[in-house]
Amino acid sequence: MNRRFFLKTAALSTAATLSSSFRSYSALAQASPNERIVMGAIGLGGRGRYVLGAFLQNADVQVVAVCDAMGLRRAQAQKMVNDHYGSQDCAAYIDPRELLERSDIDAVMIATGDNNHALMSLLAAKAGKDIFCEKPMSVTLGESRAVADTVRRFGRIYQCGTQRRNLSNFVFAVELARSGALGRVHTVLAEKAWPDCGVHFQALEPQSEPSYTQLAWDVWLGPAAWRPFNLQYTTSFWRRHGDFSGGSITEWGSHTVDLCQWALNADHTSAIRYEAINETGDVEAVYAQGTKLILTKGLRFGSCPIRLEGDEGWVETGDSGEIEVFPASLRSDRKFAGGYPSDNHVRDFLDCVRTRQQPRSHAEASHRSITTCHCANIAVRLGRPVTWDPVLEEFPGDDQANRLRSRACREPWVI
Amino acid sequence: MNPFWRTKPSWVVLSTLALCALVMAAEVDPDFDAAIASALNDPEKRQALQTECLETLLSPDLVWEQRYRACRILAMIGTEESVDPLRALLLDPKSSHLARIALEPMPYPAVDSALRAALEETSGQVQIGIMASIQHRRDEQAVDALSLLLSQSDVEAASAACLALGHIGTIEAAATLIPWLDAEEPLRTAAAEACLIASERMLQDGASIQGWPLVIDRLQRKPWPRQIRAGAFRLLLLMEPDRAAKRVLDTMKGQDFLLAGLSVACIAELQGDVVTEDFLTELPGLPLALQVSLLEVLLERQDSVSLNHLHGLLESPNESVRLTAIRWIGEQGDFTSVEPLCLALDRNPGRSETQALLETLRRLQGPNVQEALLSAMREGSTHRCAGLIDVLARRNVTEAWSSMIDRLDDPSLRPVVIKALGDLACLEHIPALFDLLDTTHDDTTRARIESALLTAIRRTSQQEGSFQVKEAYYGLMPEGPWKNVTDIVQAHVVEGQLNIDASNQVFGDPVPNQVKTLRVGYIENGIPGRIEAIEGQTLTKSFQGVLPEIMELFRESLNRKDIPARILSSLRVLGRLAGPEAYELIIERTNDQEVLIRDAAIRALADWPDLRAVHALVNIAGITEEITHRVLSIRGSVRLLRQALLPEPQTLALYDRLIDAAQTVDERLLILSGLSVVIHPATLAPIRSLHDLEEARTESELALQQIESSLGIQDGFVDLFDGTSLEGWTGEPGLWQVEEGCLLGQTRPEQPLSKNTFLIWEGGEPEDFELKFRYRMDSKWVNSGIQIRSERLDGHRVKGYQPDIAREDWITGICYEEGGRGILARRGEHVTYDSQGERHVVRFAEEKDLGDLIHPEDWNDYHVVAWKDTIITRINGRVMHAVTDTSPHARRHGVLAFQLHTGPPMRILFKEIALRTLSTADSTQKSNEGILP
Repeated sequence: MNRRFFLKTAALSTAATLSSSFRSYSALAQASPNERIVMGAIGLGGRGRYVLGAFLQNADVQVVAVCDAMGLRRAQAQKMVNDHYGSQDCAAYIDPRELLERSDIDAVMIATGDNNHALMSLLAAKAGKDIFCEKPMSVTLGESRAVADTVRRFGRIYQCGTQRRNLSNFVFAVELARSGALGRVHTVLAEKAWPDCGVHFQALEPQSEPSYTQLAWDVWLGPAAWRPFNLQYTTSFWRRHGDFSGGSITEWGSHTVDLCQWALNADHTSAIRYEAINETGDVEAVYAQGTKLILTKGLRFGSCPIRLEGDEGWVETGDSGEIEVFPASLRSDRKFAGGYPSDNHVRDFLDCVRTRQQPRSHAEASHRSITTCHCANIAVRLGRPVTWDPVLEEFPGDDQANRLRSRACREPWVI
Repeated sequence: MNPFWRTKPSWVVLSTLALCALVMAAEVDPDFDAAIASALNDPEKRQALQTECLETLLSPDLVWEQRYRACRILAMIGTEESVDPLRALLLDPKSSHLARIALEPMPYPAVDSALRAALEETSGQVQIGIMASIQHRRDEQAVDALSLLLSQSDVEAASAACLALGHIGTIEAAATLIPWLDAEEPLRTAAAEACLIASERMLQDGASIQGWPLVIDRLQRKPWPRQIRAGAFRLLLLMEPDRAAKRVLDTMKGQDFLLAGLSVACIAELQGDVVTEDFLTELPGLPLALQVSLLEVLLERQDSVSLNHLHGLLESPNESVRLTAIRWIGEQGDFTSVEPLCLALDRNPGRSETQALLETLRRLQGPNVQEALLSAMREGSTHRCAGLIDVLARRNVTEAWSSMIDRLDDPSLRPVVIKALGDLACLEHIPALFDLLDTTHDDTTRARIESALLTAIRRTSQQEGSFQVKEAYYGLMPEGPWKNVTDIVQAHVVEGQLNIDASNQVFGDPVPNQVKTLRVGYIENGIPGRIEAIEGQTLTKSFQGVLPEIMELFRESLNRKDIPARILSSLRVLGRLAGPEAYELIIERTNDQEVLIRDAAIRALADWPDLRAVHALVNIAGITEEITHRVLSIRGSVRLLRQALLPEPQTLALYDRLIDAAQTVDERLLILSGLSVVIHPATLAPIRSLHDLEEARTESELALQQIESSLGIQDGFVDLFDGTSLEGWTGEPGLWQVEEGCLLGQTRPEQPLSKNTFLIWEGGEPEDFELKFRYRMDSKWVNSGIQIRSERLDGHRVKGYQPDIAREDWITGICYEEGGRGILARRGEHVTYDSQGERHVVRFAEEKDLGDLIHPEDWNDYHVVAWKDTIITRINGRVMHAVTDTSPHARRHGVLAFQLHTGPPMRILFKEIALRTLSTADSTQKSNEGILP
């Protein structure tokens, strides 16, 4: 066991805040190299570099390696780390397996494209690393189940990048629901990213494949089926492409549905019935206790809004930080900042790396909420309602739907 | 009414979709998978599609996409028929994965035999892929073939075979792995991982795990990698549940901190009952961070931690532990929790802990909680009482009333008690609140009591059926579409006042690109009412009714001359309360002999929230001799006029009076600020009058520019009379001439008129304009006037609107319709003729008061603004009348002319006649229909 982590002076600060279940956001007063969490970063596009920045801000982290299939991004990330520490020590890898082989690395952050999230998390867990992986957790529910199982099997810490579980306006709204202040919550609404939510599988024109160091196409594709190279896959075309993403529903549903399930205390389950209710693929889902989830567009207050409705009140909030509550007596006295920074979420992860407790967006909960999103997508794709058994994790008697639970991975990128 | 998210997408949504599709996914063909979608639920189509795909696979020159598409489709709809054709593809590295995409999800045994066959016939990466699919399908029949691969020299293949065997997880499969735990790396670690997986499987399937704990136990030691060691530790707890709790307890206290943390986390998975005491006893001895973790994981188990435990934890020296305990007590506690929580309060903890304690006391559910809180308050120290009183108020415990009154003696508790009394008071308590006003208090306390009284009155009046929002809609009225926004509007009613913007920010946008209306239906004192605001306006409604019993209390208070403080407080409260009854009481007192009372009444009036008070305030501004009162009334008037709820003519008439009342520069600037947002041509004249003041010049210049540009006015004034000739005018010869630079109209005794005659301006038929001139009556009898927008008749005659001039003291400043409807508006009236021709009158000033402003002998300034459907006439800077004509008789353009009326001989002089045409092309003015109080 790595003795570096042994906290001889465990003087964690204990400023928990009012009426919210914030964990202690501790920072060691003086982090010496021996007590640092050594990290690697895999997948460093725009979002990845933002998250990397959030990690670098923590004094008890030491980033020693970056990895990206794209040469340009790899170089940028390496420079970012070296500039931060004022050294030249950051290693850069093309193949993530090489980074994961390093025994000095304790934890990794993963911000590859969606299609590599599950595989990278799994490989990292098997290599004994703790994992911070960007949302959505997976492109199929089968692969996030594999991640959750592997993480549990190896006693690893996993945090999905759904940082809104650690943002105060969302926490406040969810706590209203969980505490019973809204009465029995009968309907929850979760916003999708875009009005349409289909995925497609179109192919682009082949272009000449760059060199391995410029863009390692095999690595970028990961478990997805091989296809001829085209740069556009890596820029915008992957977003609604079924091989690389789950479209509008997982893009924001990974956040909004996750928050709704948290509010419903449904972190261990998913909805049981799903039906698309209009041509733009709004989906209505029902949980075993009868609560309704509606995936739609049209809520207020910026991006990723949610609305929780109970017998005795409702609450609606979003990334603008505004929050509206009924009745007014439930209002908080606080003003909430807008935006969606990851700082608290990253800190939560780091604290849990030290204490070995479950962070807020742990693997099982994230798997269950992304499963709800994937089931919704399946209902849309099949053009008919589907029924899900969250205990057996299958669609009873529905072969067509069951076939969509997972996809065969392309060797060598196999689960 | 369907909720908005259920409406079928309108053309708006669809075109947004199209735009999104264009912008975001530039080359995506939305119908790309249409063939698949339509086939999914149609067996015939499915069969046809499958055949098509299989044929595709067989054709020799195949583009990658075609093969992929075929496999993708077969994955979804392929039957057993497709297994054989796909088998062949398994062996070729170029197509193996694609074939697996199709085969892996299919529930047919034929797939498993195909994969097993391929396992034997492939090697390298392709074989790795085959094994991944076998692993996914957990094919028990593959165990033999896989175990053969374990001894392969290809270590990667052997490792993959380990994992596949582990996932298959039968006893036989697992048994094959054990020897390989002694192999070289990396095979050894793969075998260890596979053993963990297999053990999980066996546990799940209920298979016998005999001998396995020993195997797994080995894996806890070095030099196994950390994830194996951690995994083994956890698995052993699951495999040997009887010894698990003890193992956890021992490890928890151990030196290996990470393992200690892991062991605590594993408590969540422990089977059977967990003896909480054993763990809680160890709690204080653990490192601080671990204490909270242990507590949290025990609490999550929901079976173990009792309330007694939680109460005990309130005394932990670790603040995080205390906070965790407080939070859980909030969810699970009962009346027995009250005293321990109060004891915690007594210990005077930090701010966040105090807040958490109070929050929890507020949330406690269950029987006897209220009683417990009451006794805690009665007997408690000052320190805990401050919090408890607030808790009781928030929980609406009216029984606490008398105990709270008792606590008023304590000065440190007074503020919180007063607030609580206000929050709690029922109707029967309100006299007691009034009585509190009698005692001498310092100003702050008195203000608090007034606020509490106000809160109590509003709440009780609301509860007893005053102003309630029943329904609210936002959209196009009445035809729709609109959106039901009742919830949102109700949430904006605070202390009996509704204040909400009719805007998309508040409600969302149910009808983009259209100006929407917010319509609110309410019930007030049992009577339904409705108010509206157009998008962009603010809709306000203050509570308008007060219970008669309470008004009686006010009347009594206001008669208590022996306690002036009570009168003053009552007036202040009435001022904030607003409403018609309060208004009457206050107006009475604005003339009171007592200076202080008069002052309080006027202050209350100056802060009045609605338009009801504006006339009284304008009056006071003009009459009062006290500077403060004048300033306050001007300020209050301007504030109310800025609500823009009166029609412009009335608003401007009131501003004119304020201008007359103003005496200092600041007052004039204040009025100017109000005027500058009245976007109407008739505002220009009063602003120009303020322009003459040097101190106000910049602001008035700015205001003029803004208004003129908003209205699209570009031209300036043009002189219509050159002072020397009648050029541009035609009239009956002999009646009109120029005298000393003035235009003279006169009739002689020897040639009396048989009909009214007119001097007509030949320069056009103005539509919207500002017209000004000066006139002087120069004979004993005069009857004249200025025709505007008039129709020409033969022989120097016209008919149409005539702002009038005459010697009779009621005529000058009225609006007459020559050859038409007669007197349209008297002095001091704003008259509207609606589309049916019906006449509606609003009086904005007294005839006589306005008449006093007209000089009978001297020059007077006459100023007419015609703007769309409204004519506003001023004499000497004061609005005399206004006519809004939307009837069928209305005229929007016509000639200008001066009148000479039949009758005794007369002389009338005009000079400085100027016209300014107002262009209407770019006007952005929205017409402002007023709501009259």
